[in-house]
Amino acid sequence: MNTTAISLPMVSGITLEGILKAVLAVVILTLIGEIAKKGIIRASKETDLTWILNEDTAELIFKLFVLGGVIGALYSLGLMKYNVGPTTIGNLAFAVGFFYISYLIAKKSKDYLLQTKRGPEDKIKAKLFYYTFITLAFFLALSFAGIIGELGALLAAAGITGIVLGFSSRTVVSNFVSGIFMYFDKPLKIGDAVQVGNVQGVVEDIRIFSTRIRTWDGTLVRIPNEALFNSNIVNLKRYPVRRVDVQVGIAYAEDAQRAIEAIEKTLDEIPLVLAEPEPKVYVENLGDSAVILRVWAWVPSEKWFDVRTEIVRKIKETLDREGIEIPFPQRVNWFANELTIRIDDDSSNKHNNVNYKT
Amino acid sequence: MKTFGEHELKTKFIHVGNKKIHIIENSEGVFTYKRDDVVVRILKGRKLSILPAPAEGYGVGFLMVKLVERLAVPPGETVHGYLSAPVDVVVKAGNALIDRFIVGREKYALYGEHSIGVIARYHVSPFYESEPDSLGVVKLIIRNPTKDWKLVERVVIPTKNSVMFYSEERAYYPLIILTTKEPYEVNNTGNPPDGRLKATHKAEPMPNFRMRWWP
Repeated sequence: MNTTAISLPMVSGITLEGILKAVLAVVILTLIGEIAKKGIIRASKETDLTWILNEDTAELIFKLFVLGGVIGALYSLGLMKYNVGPTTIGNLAFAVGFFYISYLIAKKSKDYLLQTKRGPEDKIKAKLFYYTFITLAFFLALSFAGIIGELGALLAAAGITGIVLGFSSRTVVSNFVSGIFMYFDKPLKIGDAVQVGNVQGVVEDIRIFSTRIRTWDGTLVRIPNEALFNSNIVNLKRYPVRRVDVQVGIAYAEDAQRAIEAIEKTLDEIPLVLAEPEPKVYVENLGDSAVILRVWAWVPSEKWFDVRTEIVRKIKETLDREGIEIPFPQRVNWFANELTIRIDDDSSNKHNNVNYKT
Repeated sequence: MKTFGEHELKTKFIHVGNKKIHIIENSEGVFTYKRDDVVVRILKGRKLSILPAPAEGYGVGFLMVKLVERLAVPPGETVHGYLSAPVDVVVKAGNALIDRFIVGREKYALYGEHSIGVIARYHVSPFYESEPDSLGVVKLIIRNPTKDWKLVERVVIPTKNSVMFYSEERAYYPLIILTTKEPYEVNNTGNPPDGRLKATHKAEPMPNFRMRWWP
């Protein structure tokens, strides 16, 4: 057996020794990773610190060791020294590994934030943290890859492409920036009942580029943040109370004061019509066909729709019970000249003319 | 007639304020609980607890009692009195809540301003010198530690998760102390207004409530 052959270069500088080292690196680090993973899982069952010691963390640590093993193996094989453009495969592999691990950490941190703090604002904070972390990791990875110094040249070289991309992605950037402005301006938050343009519903999610609103009839509307930021946003539940505004017409023959008192009594009997601020009922206008009464009642914002329907129904019941007429629209027509009406008599085929004066 | 406390399960009516509970024994150890539209079948039960709860109504955390006549409190004085108050009622079989309802008039009001106020259960009451004949009672102590006369026209009591006390006929809020330094401060002491009363549960300490909008 010729033992000298073992140390000889085999293919492209890869030696058997290098292969052995590579395999050992992968196996040993995978084993260490597996042990660490099991240790963390075991520890997670005996500690209150499950936010950090849990299966996800164990998996993350395991992947970290495996990745380390793979990179170590590539070094052992001597593959990392080859140049790729301005950098080496080694730098690239390290940068990719670093970015992947950073991505896992960012994702886990975001999930953890969402698990522990479930408020609408926390959701947005978690996303902001996630994107900031990823962006930083991206630039650090470029630095590790050894191409950040070349980035300026690359960007300059890609100047025209950049301009073209810039124009085409203007809306995307605008949506992104609007999303950040909205975070600080806080015109709405998740769970708010809002009206934006002709869309009305509950804010389901505020994302980096768009906001999703679940409409009352159960559809989901995606509004780009730029459009939302430039719209008039009506927040229907921002304040604790909201006014119900109802118009009621009563006949001219009716006693308006009696109608007002009857409606006031009805409002007083509805629990969710607030005692303070006091409801108001007053004669607003003398309409064409009716005396118009205006009803103002303050109610808890979250119950607005239910109370409004109850108020309208009960006012109708009250006026019916009190015998107060809600008139139909009426119109008196007056003709300046004498009116002639022709009546056809089919049997005799004769015409009869009747004159009416108005 | 006994209203609050433990009731032996047997066919009978129990009156709680303006509400009527009907218990029907169907067969050995099986009962039907009825109140308005609420029907619950109780299996193998022996007793039913009817207990008072703070007037939270649809889920508010404050009770605002407006006084029929405003009170003028002299400087350095402490005044003892009572208010009538609304209460909610909970019904339990064992430790399972089977019903919760509102007795008497249910009304709400905004305490504070349109943009930053809170919705509170609303009730109008005279200031009684002795215990009133109402289902719910608040024992109120008004302290005026200042050197000026102070007006009191309402008391806003934090009630969320508050303990309640009861005798067989009446429900009591914990002793309430209103201090008229500015802003007025309301202390739900968690203590019974009377040592003979039973508590619904162990009282938890509650923070003082500052009435930003007084008197």
